[in-house]
Amino acid sequence: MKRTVTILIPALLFIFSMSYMFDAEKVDEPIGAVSSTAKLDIPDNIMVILDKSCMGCHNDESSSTKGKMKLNFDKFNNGKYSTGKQIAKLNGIVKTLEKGKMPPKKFKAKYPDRVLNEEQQKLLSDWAKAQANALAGE
Amino acid sequence: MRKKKRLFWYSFFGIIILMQVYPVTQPEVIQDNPNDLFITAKVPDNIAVMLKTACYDCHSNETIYPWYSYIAPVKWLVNRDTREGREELNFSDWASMSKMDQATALSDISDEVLEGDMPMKIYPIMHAEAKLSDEDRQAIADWADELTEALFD
Repeated sequence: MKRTVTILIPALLFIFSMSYMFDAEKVDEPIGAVSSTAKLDIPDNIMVILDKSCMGCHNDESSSTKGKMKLNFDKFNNGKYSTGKQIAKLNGIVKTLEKGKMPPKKFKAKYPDRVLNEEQQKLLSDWAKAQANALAGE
Repeated sequence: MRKKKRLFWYSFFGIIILMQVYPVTQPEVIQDNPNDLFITAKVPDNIAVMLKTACYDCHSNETIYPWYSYIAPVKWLVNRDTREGREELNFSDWASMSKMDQATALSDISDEVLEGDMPMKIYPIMHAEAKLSDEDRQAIADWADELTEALFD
């Protein structure tokens, strides 16, 4: 009994602390083009970036629950995102890129060729900003 | 064997005590926040109560630090969660955010509360009043969605 406690308390403390250091996130395999985004005005150069580095997780069929909850390009097209929600999500793209949080670390480690360089990030961010402004009527 | 056991406990408590002196800064508590959500926007009472009890400890300047948050290693976790929570969204700064940032925040609130990602699973363990039922979650999401639309009317 005593022995169990001696092991258990430090072990629990350890696990408790460790659990905070790892943020387990599932990374999806990138898939081919999901070109069902007619309602958004997506020029070719943006579509290339989205296809390469974003669409693998951010679509209806994604097995990354969190990825598609945060942003789902299919929902822009099938009416599941209201106007306000679309603006919110587009501005979310800008903010997430600003913080350098996307694509996720694991994805970048697995697919180094799909990392966005500065120029691509700026292109994507400017596009999202312009789309959001247009929707907001600004 | 006994000696070993004693040594173990001495070092165990020694480490715990050492942990206490490791300096960490606790995010400051500010009570007077003129830009706070509740001051600058009309929030229905039932929603306001839930936001206050389930979100405000990390997502506002009005953090209420419980006694155990002064003891390491819990202190480190609470400080980190509070700091990161405020960085992500601080209701005390609501009126100073752009309309679009407010929309993004509301959209995240709706998604994450509905999905069960927020409040963090660890939070209601020590704050029983912060447990949200499915109806509570739906009510918060509906409020957030409605407010998002209203921003761009």
